Amino acid sequence: MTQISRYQVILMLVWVVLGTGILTMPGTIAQFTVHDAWLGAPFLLLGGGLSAGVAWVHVRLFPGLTLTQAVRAALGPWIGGFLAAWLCLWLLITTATVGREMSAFVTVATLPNTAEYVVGAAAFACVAYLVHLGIEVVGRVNEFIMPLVLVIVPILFVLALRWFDIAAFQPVWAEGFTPIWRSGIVPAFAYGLEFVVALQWVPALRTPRTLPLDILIAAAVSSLILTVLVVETVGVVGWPVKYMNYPVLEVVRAIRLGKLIERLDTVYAMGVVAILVLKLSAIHLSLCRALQDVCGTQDARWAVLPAAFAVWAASYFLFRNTAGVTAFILSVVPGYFLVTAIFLPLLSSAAAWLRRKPWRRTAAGRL
Amino acid sequence: MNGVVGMGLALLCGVLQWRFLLRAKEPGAKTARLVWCVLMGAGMVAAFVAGRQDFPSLRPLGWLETVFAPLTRWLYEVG
Amino acid sequence: MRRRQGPTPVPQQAERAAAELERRLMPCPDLRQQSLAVAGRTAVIVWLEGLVDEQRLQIGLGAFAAGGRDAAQPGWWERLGLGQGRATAESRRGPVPGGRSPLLPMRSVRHMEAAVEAVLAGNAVAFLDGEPFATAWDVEKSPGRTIERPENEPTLQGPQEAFTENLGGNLALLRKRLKTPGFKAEPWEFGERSHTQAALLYIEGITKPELLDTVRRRLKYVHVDAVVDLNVVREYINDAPFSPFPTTEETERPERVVSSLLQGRVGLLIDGSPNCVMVPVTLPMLLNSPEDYYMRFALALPLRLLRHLMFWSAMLLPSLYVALLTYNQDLMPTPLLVSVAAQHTGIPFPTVIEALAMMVAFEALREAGTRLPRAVGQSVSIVGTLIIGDAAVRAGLVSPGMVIVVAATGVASFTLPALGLVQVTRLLQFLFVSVAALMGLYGVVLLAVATVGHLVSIRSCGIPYMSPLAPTVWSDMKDTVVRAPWWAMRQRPRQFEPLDSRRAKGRPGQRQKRWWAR
Repeated sequence: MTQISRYQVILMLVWVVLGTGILTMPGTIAQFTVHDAWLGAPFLLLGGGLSAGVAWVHVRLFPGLTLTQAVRAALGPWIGGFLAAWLCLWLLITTATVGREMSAFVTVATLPNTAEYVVGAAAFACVAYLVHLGIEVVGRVNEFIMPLVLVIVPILFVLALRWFDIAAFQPVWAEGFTPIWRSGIVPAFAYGLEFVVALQWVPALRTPRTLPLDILIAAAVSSLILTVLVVETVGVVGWPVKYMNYPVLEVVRAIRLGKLIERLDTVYAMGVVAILVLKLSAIHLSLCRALQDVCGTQDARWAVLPAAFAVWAASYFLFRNTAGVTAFILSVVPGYFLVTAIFLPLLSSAAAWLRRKPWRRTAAGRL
Repeated sequence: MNGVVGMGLALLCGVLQWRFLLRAKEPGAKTARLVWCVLMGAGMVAAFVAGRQDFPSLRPLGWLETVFAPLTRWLYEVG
Repeated sequence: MRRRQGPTPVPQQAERAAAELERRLMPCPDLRQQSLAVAGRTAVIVWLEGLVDEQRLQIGLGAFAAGGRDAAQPGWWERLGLGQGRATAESRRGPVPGGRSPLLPMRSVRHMEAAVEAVLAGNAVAFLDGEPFATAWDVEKSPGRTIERPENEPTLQGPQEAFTENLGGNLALLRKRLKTPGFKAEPWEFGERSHTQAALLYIEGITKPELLDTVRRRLKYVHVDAVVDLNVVREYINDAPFSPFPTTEETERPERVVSSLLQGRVGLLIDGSPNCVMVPVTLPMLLNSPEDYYMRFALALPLRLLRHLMFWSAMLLPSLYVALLTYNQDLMPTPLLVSVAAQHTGIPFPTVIEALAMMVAFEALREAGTRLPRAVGQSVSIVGTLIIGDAAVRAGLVSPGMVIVVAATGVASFTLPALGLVQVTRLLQFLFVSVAALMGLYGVVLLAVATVGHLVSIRSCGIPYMSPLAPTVWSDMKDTVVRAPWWAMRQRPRQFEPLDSRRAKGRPGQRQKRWWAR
């Protein structure tokens, strides 16, 4: 039986959030406030806490079951089946959104003359290969890439500090709490609730009961990194951060080191590509597992290629351009994710609690 | 153009998974084959439509917006 | 259809038996026979010239002639000073004229097939009138070279002995380094026609029994007519047969085998091959050189880091160059970009064609240098790299930058200690250049992630190939990219799950201390 360790789960979850977080989140937060943007980033913890709460209830009520299995077990084949299909659609739309963000970013940052759908097809080919190899492999690739990130990111951070201006943060809390809350909506309810995809990995976890704690740790780490990133971005770019799609890219573009280093943004872009592939792989794993549960097959490999193909096509079908992606994330995703990732699992848990039936496949625990 | 790329990719996926499509006998294989075809069919249609520029009024996620945008607005306002 | 026949019993007339044996082997000009009178009966002794130790044969012949049945009396053979012989797995011990010698084991063979096998294995076989069996004793001394310095794994420091093609000699090289009864050499035989002897090596009490069972199970699947080299068996027991990455480790250095066995791994020696194959193996292990352990640990660290860097460089360098020149020129500092662009002025090929042509030419030169006799090979390498490269640059066919990159890639691959890894980098660099030509750095990164995915997915006898990096085993990091001092490596690698995890026990209940920690 394939199993992944807690360390691997935490890394996968961190990249699930930071994959697109390091790309667009500083800009999204700065839409609402620039001076106090650094106070918006920690709201990710709120989403992480909600996700951990859902996970806490889930692993106790449905030990060893995925979210889609739990929904079907708790609410029956019809309502449960419909909600499981709803979850599949949620995962498909989420993956498509990330895929479109990725191909748009690559086209802007490094391949301006290549068609976006070709860029996306290459990325999904890589994602499909990793997912085909299984969750263990995705976890290990996360582990392998982590030391490289730990070496490269601090270097970029320190090099960019040269342009840092603390005046960008003053005056602190001048506009009241409302803009800070609004800037925290996307981190909390769009990115923070993405942690719920981990419920689809439950059968493959070595210690499923620690999943809530792992989500909290991942949320704390992600919040910290994101806050540092927002501070650096706002400090270096200043007020114009509000008008940028990829402000962190601009921060890295600002790095100069004599005549030796003139541009480092491609290096940053490639790092983001690697991390986005990991994020896509993690969510795609969840999608394939959901399709497996819906169909009742023993294996999810059959779903890898068709799901990757559908997600690739959906990423261009659902969004006409990057502005469409941003508008969707700002105006729909928080509510959509809150209902799907929080209310829906809680609904199935409540139903299970009320009906008090032994849902588990294993005889390990009692309801 | 991405309609053509989509057809090509779908064909490739079919070739790579011919064994599953023709021979799989495990439990749930029938449903899985149906889902496979739905995903592939929807993907090809989506790729074809996305490649055409003459569908300006098509908003595939409009229904989600109708349902969830009010809740999102409320979240922004509640603070 | 051929009818399967039962074994033929040894005829009771010695002359007839010898003639039958000759008939089965003929034409066989190196077959020798000697007739003797032993206790009033005729005996015929048969052996293969060149495969036996002449001196021991003569002594044996004399003893057999003089002693007859007395030759097997206790103490007789010791007095003659004959050594311990090697018995094959098929030998059926049975009644020998007069009994059995404790030092030179004589065995009786009852069938002609077994007699033929014994002669082919370097035994002298004696047929005695009136006896329904033949007597065989081992006087084998196959031709072979003496112990030499390791040519494929040279080191400046450390032991300088290498395995030869002789299984017994190779086992002796291990035994003299590992004087413990726990060291086991389990006999195996492969090849329905070659009957190649092999030894499965492990240390009882350290090696995990499940690992041993895995190897044994795989070895049982080796069904070939002849095992002419270790690679035949290696391909049968490989974990990822379609992966280009090696999942076994080979060495010609006995002390490396000993170190591996002490880590809890398993080795396999095969007669006729000067290498030992060891499993399981991980990629970081393949990047370690024996020299790392023979120098101060602080000096091993930069060398290991360099080797890790060179492994990736050997795969990626040409593709990065192609990507930078074709798509991502912005990454180059302006002066360098101007210089490289100037070099490319007048070159008639796109960068990717230039790169592929140079890489193919380099690989051809490398192959020529390997296949040709050493003196000629060196000349070809020098002529190829210096003269042809220089001429190609002057003729405006390739740019100097490309020559430097391809040469640097070659040099990077030469730093890798494992030949299997070198071959992989030679292959994969072409794939990386192709994706770099299609999608620049983006393609290179995607393929690199996929390659890492492949690497972490494969296993070697159940052990993840990229451990202890992924999955992370912190305690085993002491001997991965860094090499901790010997006194700090008190535990055997956890990834192999040895039965006895501590390298040295010390006195019971007492914590091990360094001499300076008083």
